Amino acid sequence: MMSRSRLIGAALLMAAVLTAHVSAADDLPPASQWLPAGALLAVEVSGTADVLDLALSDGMIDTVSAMPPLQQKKQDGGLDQFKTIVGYFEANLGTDWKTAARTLLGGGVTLALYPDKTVLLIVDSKDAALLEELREFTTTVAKGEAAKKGNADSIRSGEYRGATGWTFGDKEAHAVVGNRLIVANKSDALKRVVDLREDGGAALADQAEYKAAKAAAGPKADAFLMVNMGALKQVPNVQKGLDNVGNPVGSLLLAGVADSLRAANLLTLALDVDGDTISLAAVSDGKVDAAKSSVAFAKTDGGALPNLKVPGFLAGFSFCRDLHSFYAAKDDLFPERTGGLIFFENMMGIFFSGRDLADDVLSETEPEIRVLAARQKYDEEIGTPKTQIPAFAAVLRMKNPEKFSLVMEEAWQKAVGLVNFTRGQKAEPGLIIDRPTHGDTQFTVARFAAPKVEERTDADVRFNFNPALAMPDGYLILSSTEGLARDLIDAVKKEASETLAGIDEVHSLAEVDGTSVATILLANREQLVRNNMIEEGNSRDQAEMAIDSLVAIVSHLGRTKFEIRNESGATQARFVIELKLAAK
Amino acid sequence: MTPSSEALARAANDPAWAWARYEPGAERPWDARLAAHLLRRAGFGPNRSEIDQAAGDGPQKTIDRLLQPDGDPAEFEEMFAEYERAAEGSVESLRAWWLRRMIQTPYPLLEKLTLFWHGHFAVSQAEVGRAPMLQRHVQLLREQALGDFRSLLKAVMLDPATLVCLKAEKSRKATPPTALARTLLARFTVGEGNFSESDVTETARAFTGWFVNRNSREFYPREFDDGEKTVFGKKGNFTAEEVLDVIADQRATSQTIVRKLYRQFVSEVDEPGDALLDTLVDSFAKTGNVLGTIETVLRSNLFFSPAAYRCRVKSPVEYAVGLVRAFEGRVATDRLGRALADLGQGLYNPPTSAGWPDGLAWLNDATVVGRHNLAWQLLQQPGDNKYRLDAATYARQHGKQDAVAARELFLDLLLQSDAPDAAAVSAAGIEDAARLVACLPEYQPA
Repeated sequence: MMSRSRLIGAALLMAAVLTAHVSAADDLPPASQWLPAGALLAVEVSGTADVLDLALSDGMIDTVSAMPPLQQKKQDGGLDQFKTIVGYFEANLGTDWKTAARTLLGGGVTLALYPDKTVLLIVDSKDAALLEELREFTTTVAKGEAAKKGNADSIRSGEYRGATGWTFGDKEAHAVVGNRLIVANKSDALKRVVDLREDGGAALADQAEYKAAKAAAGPKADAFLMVNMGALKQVPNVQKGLDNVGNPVGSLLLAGVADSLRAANLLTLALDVDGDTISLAAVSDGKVDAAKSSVAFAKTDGGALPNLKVPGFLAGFSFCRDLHSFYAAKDDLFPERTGGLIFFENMMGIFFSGRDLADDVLSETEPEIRVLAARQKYDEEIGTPKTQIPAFAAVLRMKNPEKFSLVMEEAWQKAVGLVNFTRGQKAEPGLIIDRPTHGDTQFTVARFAAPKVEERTDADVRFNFNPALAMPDGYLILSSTEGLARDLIDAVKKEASETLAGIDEVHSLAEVDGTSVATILLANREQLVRNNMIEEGNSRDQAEMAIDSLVAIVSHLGRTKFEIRNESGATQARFVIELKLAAK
Repeated sequence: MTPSSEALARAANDPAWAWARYEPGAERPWDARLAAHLLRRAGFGPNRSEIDQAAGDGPQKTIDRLLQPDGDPAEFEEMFAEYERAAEGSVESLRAWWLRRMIQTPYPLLEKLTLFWHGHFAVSQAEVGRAPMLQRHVQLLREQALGDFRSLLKAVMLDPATLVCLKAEKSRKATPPTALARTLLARFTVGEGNFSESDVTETARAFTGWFVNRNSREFYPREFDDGEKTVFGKKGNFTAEEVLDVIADQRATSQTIVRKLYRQFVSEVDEPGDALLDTLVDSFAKTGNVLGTIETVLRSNLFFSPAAYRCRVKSPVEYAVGLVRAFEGRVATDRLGRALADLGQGLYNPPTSAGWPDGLAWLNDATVVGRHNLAWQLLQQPGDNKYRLDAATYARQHGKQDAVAARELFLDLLLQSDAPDAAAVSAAGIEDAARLVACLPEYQPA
């Protein structure tokens, strides 16, 4: 039989995790009018059927059921108790659990968190009678559980200004008003809701941030999250986290996102569910002074180019950045890092034969920068390394390819020489440079000599790398492997034959293919399991479960896309996941 | 006179009594305290059931099991060797796997001796830098830790990691490896004051011809100095192996090793006189048998006397691994490895050619605070805590629901009631009690 805590958990979990919307019941004002103003964070689920359709779909249930921890529980009989609870619940409420969930949550869910750690949750049911049945059911079961153990039950109820409240213990209080369930983590908080209802006063619905977030999310959003950044930034760890992004690489990649969050008073996340596709849009109201931020170097005129498509594509990142201006402004952007950057610049001076990094090297590149990773196919002569690392590459375009390609070739060969020298010092094998041809493009590759036949089944990690430099049609390709370089030569040639078009106003774009990433994880499963054992302290069984779960989750993520745009100094981000659920 | 010095005086006067087999009696009965003492010294610290089993089995049967564990540990050893080989790209991973091995091993004495020899030969990451070489070096120590010292010495001295560590990567005829020879004589074998400069240069000549190329050892006859050498008065055209025989034959070598084993297993408090150790030295010089010497020590009256009881300071590794084993938990050992390095005992990285210090050198203002912090982290509440030692759950599993009972349980588990009046613990709740017991001065000695 279920315990009291499980009962409460089951009831609250259903309320909190599954979601729904509909405007509040006809005879009650919106839930946001019953919640006090001053929330640090608020979630309002307002898109109903779409969210529940996805959460309760056969595909989602089959996918979740197939997750390794649940499979394990199923085998161990650990799900039997859960099934009993659900059966008991369905028998008592006279409906199946999916229908009950749709009915109980169908009116919407609103949650607010306050600076004093008060949490308030309002669930609007479509059926007041069913809600009351659920409350009575949980109360009865909790009493029965307590009696079975010979304990007095801790359920208490009381009247406050005409409303009846119940509590299962010190950390929970709830009340039912019509078709509305109000849950608080403190009984005083529940009284504040009643007071607000009776006397009126400043409600969440009146809070400026809430109103702005609702407007930013738009009427089509199924749900939105309001984060009161002004208050949240008072938390030292949050402030510290935002400050830590101030390193040159982070600033270049995030292009003002951290600056925007630092300046923001409000962050809105809007959720839209359409079939198996989940879209999450983030909007910050933080306006950034372009002159003092790395956002100035994120170019949106023209926008980031689409990611290049290659066989075995895992992930791609496309940026539009003015590298020359960014680096030229380094002393203003990162005055505390001048020493390190001077060292970096001096090192680059060696590779580029004394040329100025900003004016003679970075200024030779166009603003479109693409980085991508892809699965590798290993040559039979090399064998498969014991740890399989994806191939990765950077692709840029050159302004003056005829002049700059020789500069790059020389720098690249020097870098290979340095790698060889360093490896030689450690008595490790070096790279051998070759100049093969792919189509009409001659490029440069550096390979390790093939391992002995007996070493090919468990080849050394170094065989994940045979770095290549290719410069077809004004593109500059720096790849960790020859195979990816060849695929990219094909891809850029195809792109060059078409009209190049960036994504308007988008300065950063990331795409990840979950299914392919899962394949790589699976190929490295043993290594990941072992790492998990020493990094998490897990037993082998626990580690296998953790990694298998990760692989399962990633494989269902399908194609994931993330883009950042900047409009009039305000940063917007959009995150889209196309779930790949179990076949229905 | 304290019981400890009284027992030592008796041992010094009567070495035959000292090394005679301990038989429990009214004067020194076999109980949980002595059982735990034995398990601490021959391993990294016991858990509750191990103490109970040893207390029930008596000393001899327990020692039999410690010297040769029940079942076959080969499968365990093979599995961890494979884990370590796969992790050989990173010393941090190797360190994590070794700690995990110490926590889970069915043969704690073997790991204890592997750690002992690691400290003795002190081959370090700082000098070698190459993780695969270090992995093979420690595996070599493990394979020979309990066997014949002469074989171990030869294997270690010609191991690529040792050669690199002692700047003998290219031992040419024109530049014999004197640093290696000096360390071999001063640290590994006869000890300071027991050799001459001539012994150093002549020993170095015997090591010429050995090179480390691409992480492997190679011998080049053209670079070997094949002239006659004189080492410790013996003349011959010695090779490296032959000169190691000459050095191993020196009584001073046996004295060095036996004295070091005495500090490891008996006491760091008092330096034993030569007369007390003579029996062990004679036997060791004759057989070179490490396990046999340890067996004699572990079964002896002296070992179970007050002269040995809690007369060693736990090293950071012994301290932390002992806590994890006591609470039967599993922890994130990569993180633990870093914490132990901060406390001065980074595995695979002894600080000098003398290895790690011992005794009170482990305890100073900074390291005591460091130990307390580590105990606090190890015994944090579960959740975010990757160390996962859950004292409250442990207490509940042993039927101790309230703080008073839990405090008694922890005092008994970690100290076998050697600190019954620990005032610092008396008012603590369950979680704090475990941490406070681990921080007591009485818990720092092994």
